[in-house]
This record gives sequence, structure tokens and C-alpha cells, in this order.
Amino acid sequence: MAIDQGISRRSFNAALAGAGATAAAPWGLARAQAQAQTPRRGGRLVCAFNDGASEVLDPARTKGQNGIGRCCLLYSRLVDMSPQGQPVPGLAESWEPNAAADTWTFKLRRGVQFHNGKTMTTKDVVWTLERVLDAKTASSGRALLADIAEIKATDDHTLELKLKQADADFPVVLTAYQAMILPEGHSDFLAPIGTGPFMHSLHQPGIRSVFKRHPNYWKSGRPYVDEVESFAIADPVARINALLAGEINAMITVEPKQVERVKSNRNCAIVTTTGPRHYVHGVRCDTAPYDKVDVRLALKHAIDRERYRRLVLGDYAIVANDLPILPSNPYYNKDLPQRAYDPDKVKFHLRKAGEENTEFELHISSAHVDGATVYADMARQAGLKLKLTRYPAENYLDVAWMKKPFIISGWFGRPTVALALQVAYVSQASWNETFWKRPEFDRLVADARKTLDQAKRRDLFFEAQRMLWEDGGAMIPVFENWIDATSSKVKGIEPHAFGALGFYYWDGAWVDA
Amino acid sequence: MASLVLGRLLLGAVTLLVASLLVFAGTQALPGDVTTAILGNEATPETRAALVERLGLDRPIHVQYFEWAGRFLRGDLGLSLVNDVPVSRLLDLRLKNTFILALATIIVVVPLSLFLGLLCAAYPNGRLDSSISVVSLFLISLPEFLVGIILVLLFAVYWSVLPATSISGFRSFEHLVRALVLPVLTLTFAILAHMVRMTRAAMLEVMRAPYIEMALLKGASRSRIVLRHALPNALGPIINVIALNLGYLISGVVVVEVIFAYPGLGKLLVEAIGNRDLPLLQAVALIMVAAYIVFTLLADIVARLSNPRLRFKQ
Repeated sequence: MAIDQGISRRSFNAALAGAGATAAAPWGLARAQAQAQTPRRGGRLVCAFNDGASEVLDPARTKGQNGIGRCCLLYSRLVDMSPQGQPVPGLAESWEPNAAADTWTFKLRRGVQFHNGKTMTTKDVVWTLERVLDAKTASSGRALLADIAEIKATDDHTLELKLKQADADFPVVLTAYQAMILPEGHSDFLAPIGTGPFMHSLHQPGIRSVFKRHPNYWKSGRPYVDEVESFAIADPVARINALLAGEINAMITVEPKQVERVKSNRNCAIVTTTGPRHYVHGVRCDTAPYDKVDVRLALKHAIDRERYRRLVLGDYAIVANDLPILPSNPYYNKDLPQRAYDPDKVKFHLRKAGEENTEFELHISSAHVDGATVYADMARQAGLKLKLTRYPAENYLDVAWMKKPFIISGWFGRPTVALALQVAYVSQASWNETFWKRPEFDRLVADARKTLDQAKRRDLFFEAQRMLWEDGGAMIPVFENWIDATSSKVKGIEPHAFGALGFYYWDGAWVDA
Repeated sequence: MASLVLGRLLLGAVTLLVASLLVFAGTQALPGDVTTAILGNEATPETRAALVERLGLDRPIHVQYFEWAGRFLRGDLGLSLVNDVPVSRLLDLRLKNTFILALATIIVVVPLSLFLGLLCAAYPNGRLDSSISVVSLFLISLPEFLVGIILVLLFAVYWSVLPATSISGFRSFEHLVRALVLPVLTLTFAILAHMVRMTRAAMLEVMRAPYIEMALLKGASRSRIVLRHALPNALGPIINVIALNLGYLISGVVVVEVIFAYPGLGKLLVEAIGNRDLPLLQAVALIMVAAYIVFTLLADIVARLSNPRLRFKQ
């Protein structure tokens, strides 16, 4: 079950993925040992991406793994994201909110050099952020940064951002790839310049790109490899063949059913970790019969999540509890019991709703077939009739999503509870695909957002999640792993909960001799 | 002869014009929207409007068509909506790659199919004829994706003698040659039977003519009859089938390009459709149409030149 076209379109743009990671244990251990070795300088990394959708090297306007991955090599962000989802210093070495959490002050790292030798100052940062916010740039990041009211450079290394509304999680917003820092006034993206670990060397749009090591990178000693070459191999089988044949030494997106092929080759290694990617099986809470909470509960109890996980994802997933937040997130409501497969409850709720003989119609894209078929079969065995109607993946988002009353949509997840709930579950969210509108819930989320006191925040978030869990219109069966692969000689790519192949933080990657 | 070429050129131009209308209308009718494709669903109505204006998509369709066609005639193919670079720059490399693949395949497949076809025609209905027919028909019946994947598994993954994908091979000439072997082989399997059968049929048709019997009675050798007497008269249809396959090689090898990650024109077209990148899509589609027109025109001219009766009578 691959993330389909429609989903990637939306969620790539989001780039802000979920939160927290529980690295798959045996693999994580092996990696830890590998990282204990001393990195070797030199060598090449040849990476195949899975799409060539856009090869624009402008971070504000790129999309797709190929575009985002390459931008991560060329540029740096003010705030980086740790593999577990915490904001960590990037080009900004520290930050601090005022008491109301509606003005944030960022201190920039000193002596950071662009590829052309220029030193980075707040001028570059202000220009970059204003460019993203400018409607003429048509950046997908504009909506993400929309809360910024005023950008002010206090001096060359101090930046003050005033927000339209308080946000205790604001630094996470700046981890968006669209907000990668450019040198002031430079917008020739056929000769891109950034502060990232690698500099532009060759760019043949639609064919391949080559990047060479940035000798004055701001993390001293890094990066380790001399050169990175990247291109797209869209066909999943061809991509794996290229890895097995040794033509490439890194690739993103291995389908669960192909994992064994990679594992059986001693020269290759699977790179995987739990991530917040998930499919929402969502109903419109404003449309009959889904406006009855009993129907929604019947749908939520009609799936055996553990079996679904094994059948559809071959163990490369963890069970979810109808909340769009990873269980490892500190604000995840652990007090809610795990929802279980329960044919008796399904029948009970259907009877209570008076919908025992209704056939429910689930509108799916051709990319959802595996999972939806398994769900429909389990539901049938529990006494709930589920009919699948298929649409081509290409225009699923246009014809079905947010239009039909029962749909499936894919999400890469968001790094904070506030963002995860705000993006699709509060009444006014532009992607409120379940049309679930509860003013009390909105108030809880808004209050939590501006509360800096952690205990109070936790209570507010817990209560909001309880409401959503009891009443909401989303059935979320599992969180899917990132599954990528490298040659076993490639080391130092730490799996990341928010993106493929260590979310392209490759300044620590190295190639063993 | 000159009037024929002129007439054919004119006809070709008309075909191209009609094709350009169809291509333009087709791209307008595509479901989905380029602003969604570029901005994603993150787009606000405001950014969407800004983009529509920047791309000039708010003007009437016929104005857009004439402007596009006019620029096209001047050689300006426009800017790729998604990649932000001139379409001509994207086309440049892809077109070259496609020609390399087509040329390499033709160099292999034409002599091979001529040889096999002549062999079949020289000894019709014999054991050799039947085996060549059976094998080539068997190969054409296997879909390209199956042949391609089996070849990759054997030669690249198990025996590691040839690269699995082509894209990594565009570094040096030696790399390129090695990278071309498997795609060329796959394409050869796909079109060999067509050309062998056509050669055989055209030859047998001619071989039934009375003058061949005459040559036989005069005691001419089999090879002389086939090569000297029959082949020149059978060249017309053979050249036409070569042209047809050349057109196919330029425009229709998407599957092979995908299996071998070969950066050619077919994949560019598919990507352009996926991205709703209209200027790119229109340019690629027109180039493919033009390729077909040019190749059939050339085939007609060559066929006439090879046939004295057609050359002089009209």
C-alpha cells in the first residue's frame, strides 16, 4: 500500500510530519553500532528517488521527494528537527518566546558561510521569509507561515518574529522545508546557493543532479562524502534492481512486499523507523447516516488492527487508536483504551442507530485497494456491509476527497499535537475532511496552543483527544513505517520519524571502504 | 518527384496543424488543474489566482492557442510550469537520449530482420522458416515489461554483467553502451517479428511474379534471385514498416523507459501529464506527431526512389 499520488501532493507540501519515533529495535541497535565506528571521509552517495514530479531547486516552490531531498542537501533551516521530532538548533542557535508566546526571538549562528563565501546574517533570513510570505512567490509554505505578523532584524544575528496569535510550538513551524534560508536577493535556481552541506555542481532537470562537498559547512568536519548524485527511478522494481546491482547505494521507498528481496542481499540494508504516516478512513459527520455517533463507532470497531497491520504492511507499522498523533508524543493521550475488533459492539451500535441492514459505501483511490479490501472483509465478518467504489489515483482528491461521505486519505502526520489537530480536526480547518465541528474542541486546542505551562497543556490536549476519540469521524488503523534502503557500506544515516532516509540529513552520512 | 515531395510536405503541415489543435484541446480537457498540481492542496484561493495570472491561464482559450502556436512556430516552446526551466532545455537532453535508443535499436533490428526475413522468403514453409516465425512471434507475444524485467534479473541482478538501469550510465561512452544493451534487446524482441513477417510477406509476393520464374528458368542462383531480382521490388513495404517502427521507437517506448529508468521522451510525456505541465506536454506530443509525419514522408520518398516505375512514370 503505497502512499498515493494524491496524498503525497498534499503531505509533501506539508513537510511537517508527526512526532516522536520508536526506532525498530533490532535495526536501531545495528545502526547504533555502525555509528560507533569512525566516519570515513570521501566516497560518493548515489541516491534514487521515487518521483521526478518537480525538480525545482527553489525550496519555496519545490515538492515531491526528489525536490525536497535535493533542497535538504543545498540549504539549511533556522530550526532543524531531531529524529524524534523535537525542534533543535539549525542556523538559529537558540530561541526564546516572550511571556505571551506571541513574539519569538531567534539568535543566529555566527560565521555561517554560503556556498559563494558570503556570510549569513539576518538580512538573508528576513529576505527569505518575506519571499515565502509574498503571494507572488506562490509558495505552498505561505499557509504554514501565515501566523507570522512581523519580521524584524534587531541586529545582524538577532531576529524577532511577532505572531498574529500565540503559539507555544512556533519553532516547529520553521522546520518547514519551504523556509530554508537563501542568500538575500538570489533567485537563480539553476545555479542555487545555500548554506547546506553540499553545493550545486550539475543539474539536468528531469535527468540527474550532482552535488559536491561544501568545504566551509557550518558543522565543522562535515559532510563526510565528496559527492552526492541523485536521480529519479519511478518504478519501484527498477529502483530495487539498481540497488541490488550496485549502481546506486541509497534509495527511498521500498514497498513492504519487496523488503525481503532487499534483505536477502548481504550487500544491502533496509533503513526503517516508525513514523506518523497514516491513512484516515473518514466519514462526513454532517451527512446521514454518518451523523449518528453509533454508526461511527460501529465503523471503528469493525477492524482488527493487529491483523490489518500484518496483512497489509507486513509488520512495518504500529497499531493506532483513531488519533492522528504518534503514541510516543509526550502529549499523546495514553489513558484512552485501545479500540479493538469487536463484532458484538459493531452489531450493538448498528442496531442502536437503526442501520443494521445498511450497506456503507467507501470511496477509495486505486492506491488504497489492498488496505480497503482487508478492512471491508473484516467488517463483513463483523456484520457490517461495506462496499468499495474505486477512483483513479490521479484525480481522487479532486472527485472524492471532501466530497463523498466516506473516504480514505493519506497523511504524513504532523510534528506536534496542536498542528495535527489544527490541520484537519478543528471546525474551521480547510482540510476538515470529517466535517466534525465541535466549538468546545476548538476552544481546547486554541487554549493549549498558547499555554506554555506543560501540565496545563497536557490536560487540555488530553481532553481534546478524548473528545475526538469518542465522537470524531476518523478511523485510523495504523501508523506506517518509513522503509528505505541503502548499500550496507553506507553508514551514518540516522532513521528519522518525519522523512525518508533520515529526512535527508546527510551531513553525517559516510561510505565505508 | 519534386511535386510529390512538395505535396507530401503540405499534407504533413496540415496534419501537424490538425494534430496541434487536437493536442491543445486534449490538454485543456484533462481533468485536474495545474494550480493544484503546482501548489498542492495547500494553495489558498489567493495564491491560486496569482499563479493563474502569472501563467496567463485566465485568457480565452483561442487566444491562448494562437499565442502558443505562434510562439511554437518561432521555436519558442515556453516555460515548463512545474520545473521552471525552458521546455526546450528539458527536451534537449531527452530527445537526444530517445534518438540514441531508437538509432541503436534500428541499427540492430533492421539488418537482423532483413536477414531473417530474406532467409524465410528464400526457403518458404521449410523448417527454418517455421522456426524463425515461431520464435519471433513468441517474442512479440511477450509483453515488454516481462521481457525487460527478466533480462534485468538475469544480466544485472544475478550475473552482474550489465547495469539494471540506464540513468546511472550517462557518464561516459563506455557506460552508455553497456546501459543500452538491455533496452535495445527488449525493443528488438518487441519489433523484430513485425519486420521479419513484413519482409517475408513482401518478398513472397514478389517471388510469385512471372519474372522470378523466368530468372529461375534461366538458372539464376537462389541468392541472386532473392537479392538482385526480388528485393528491390519488395523494398517499398519494407521501408514503410521500418519508418513505422522508427515512429514507434520515438514515441511509444514508455514501458521500456520505465523499466530501465531510461530518461527519454516517453517518460517525459507521462510525467508532463501527471503534473499537468501543459507547455511541456504539448511540445512533446507535437514532436512525436512530427516524428511520425517525417518518417512516413521519408519512407515514401525512399520507396519511390527505389522503384524505377514509380520514379519515372509520374
